[in-house]
Amino acid sequence: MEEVFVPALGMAMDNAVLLEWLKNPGDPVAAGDVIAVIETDKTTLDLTAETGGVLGKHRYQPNDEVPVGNTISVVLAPGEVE
Amino acid sequence: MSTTTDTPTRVSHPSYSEAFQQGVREEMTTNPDIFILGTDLVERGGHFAQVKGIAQEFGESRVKDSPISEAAMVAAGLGAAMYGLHPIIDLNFIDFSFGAMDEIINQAAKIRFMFGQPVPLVIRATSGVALGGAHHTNALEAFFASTPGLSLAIPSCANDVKGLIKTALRVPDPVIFLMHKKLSGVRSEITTGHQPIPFGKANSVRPGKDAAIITWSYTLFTALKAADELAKEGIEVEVIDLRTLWPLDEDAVDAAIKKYGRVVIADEAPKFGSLTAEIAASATERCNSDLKGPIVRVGGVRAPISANPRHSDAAIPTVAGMIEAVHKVMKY
Amino acid sequence: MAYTDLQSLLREMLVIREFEETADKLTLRGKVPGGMHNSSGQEAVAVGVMSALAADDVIATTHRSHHHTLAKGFTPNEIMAELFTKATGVSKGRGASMHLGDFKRGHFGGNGIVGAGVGIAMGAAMGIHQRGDKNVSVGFVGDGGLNTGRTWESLNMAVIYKLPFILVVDNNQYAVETFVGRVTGGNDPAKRASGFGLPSFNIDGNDVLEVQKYTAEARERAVAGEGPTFINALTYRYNGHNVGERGQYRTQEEIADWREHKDPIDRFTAYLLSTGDMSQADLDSMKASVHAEIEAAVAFAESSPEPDLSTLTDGVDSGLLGAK
Repeated sequence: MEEVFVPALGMAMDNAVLLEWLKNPGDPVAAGDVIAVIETDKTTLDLTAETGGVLGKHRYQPNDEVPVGNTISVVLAPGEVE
Repeated sequence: MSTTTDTPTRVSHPSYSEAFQQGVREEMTTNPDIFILGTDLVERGGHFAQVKGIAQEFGESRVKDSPISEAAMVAAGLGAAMYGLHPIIDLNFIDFSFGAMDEIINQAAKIRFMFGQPVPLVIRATSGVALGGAHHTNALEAFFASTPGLSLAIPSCANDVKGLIKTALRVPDPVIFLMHKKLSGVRSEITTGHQPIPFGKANSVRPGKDAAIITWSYTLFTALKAADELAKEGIEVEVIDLRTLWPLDEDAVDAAIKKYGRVVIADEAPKFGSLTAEIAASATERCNSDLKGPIVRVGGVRAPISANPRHSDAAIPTVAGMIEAVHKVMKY
Repeated sequence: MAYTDLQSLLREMLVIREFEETADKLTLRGKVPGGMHNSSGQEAVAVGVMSALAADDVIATTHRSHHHTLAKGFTPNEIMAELFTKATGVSKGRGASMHLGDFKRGHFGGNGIVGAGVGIAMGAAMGIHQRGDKNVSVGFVGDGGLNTGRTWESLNMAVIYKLPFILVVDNNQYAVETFVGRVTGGNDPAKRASGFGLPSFNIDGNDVLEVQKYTAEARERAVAGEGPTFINALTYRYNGHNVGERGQYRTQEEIADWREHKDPIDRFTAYLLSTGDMSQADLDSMKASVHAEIEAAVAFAESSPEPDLSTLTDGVDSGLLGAK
């Protein structure tokens, strides 16, 4: 199971805003696919999958502030459950 | 999981950093004498994305990547300014100004007085308490604001960043332009369009009936949270953002004293020797009879800033501390 | 860290690499307040220098100092805990990644100010010289610090007073995102330094034995009263300036070339296997023990307490002058 999380990228970054989901729960996901777009204090950022599988639940909604380090969804390998 | 950056922003209001880009772009378009010198500006767009894309738009003759040579950076800006250009020297963190303090204090600030020569120079840096430890969190506002010959802008929102940098780039004087690290990504509306915002004009951010908190930069947001809490108790506090610390809007300070007689002044610099002391003392000299009791100051602790987040938060004014200060003036 | 044999050099480099890669991931997860500067790729500079020093020699270093600090003999536990800003960290949680140090153990601090460590180390060398101690002091600076005045002011002073000082440029070639050649006139650090009148060398900073040799010779000269040495150790940083920096200022091919062909750990591993100084079984057990050591450091950091809030203003001054 790969956790998709908001990375801490700078010394002044506490939160990011989830802008949009590009994959829905249950969607197949390939390595490199953009799963969600977030906005940090400097830029917008595509969160991409490193592994393939199926996307889990959305743990945040668009416009939610997400503390850095927090997981916003998971990519499930075949046979895995959330 | 991996991440990639994607430059175009998808939200309508600009961030604090983007507002700086806007203001600088607009002024660079009309004034070919403006150029920017600093570290990691061309590709990275500055450490807080404050000049992102400007090198690509205006070319590398007008946005120059510098070696890490603070004294020479400010000296270059100073000499070029005396020659007639209008440089922006980007020092990244104001803590790095120590390496160029002779150039700032002994040279830039005094040239006009000594020789009658204008020094149209902007020194931009981030300031304020954030994570990163003691070498990146010095509070130098009082030093700069008390140095004759320097002006100091310290905006709290995108609109003021844009309007104040536009003004800074139109005056033939050295301006220290401080942008709080924690505000870099905060988005807010540009309400004054392409208009410059004058220095020395405070902004009333929240109306009040009972007392006023006078503050600036990041501490403004702590004050606004405190005002929200106090409103629940029925205490309506006006919150005033000074926006520039020299020139200082003494009229706004005096008006708040005359209106309420109960005033709190707050800033995150260590309280001893902070500008809050100067503002309170000089206002008291002018308006003592209008005060119902002493102005109460809220400030930072007298300690370098720890890298630990709980400790760095506790070192600067808290919402609780701000509420306590307002309660104190409400007892007069 | 006692550098008793060649294997111990490799082990320390593995400790640094695993520490950095582990801490990098934890930083992305928000566990390291303020972030960190990863030194992966630069292990040979740190281990080469420290293995040539005496335990009570002094170092002062930079914003990127995990590798210097670990190689100086500090434990992964106390450094990881410091990155987490925990009370058990080497700087009691006040310093995080950038301000590691313990003066009693000859570590005069990481630094947030470019070139500042050079001056501090030079001053320590002046102290050593005054006392007549048989030690040296090493100041580290990055390539970015080649262009700040205090580096050269300090070097000049070390020369004129013949101080037991070694200036090591941990030259990873990029000052944040700026290539050293773009902002460094001449781009030949040893040539620049030699104008100050001291032995100055550009060396392969990814060859741990070469770094060790040049440092050892510099130390001998210094202790013999012959004054300072300048060493520019060319190396490469694999990761961004800070965790999260992903600039496009260098090509993936360039990074891959250094990782695949010039890696200090791979090179030294191959050397030890080829000379018979280490067997494959030695290497496997070394890697397993390093992995366990770093895992334990994370667990230690996670479970350590935060510094108590009551200590917020402790130790600002001695209190002897009567300040409350």
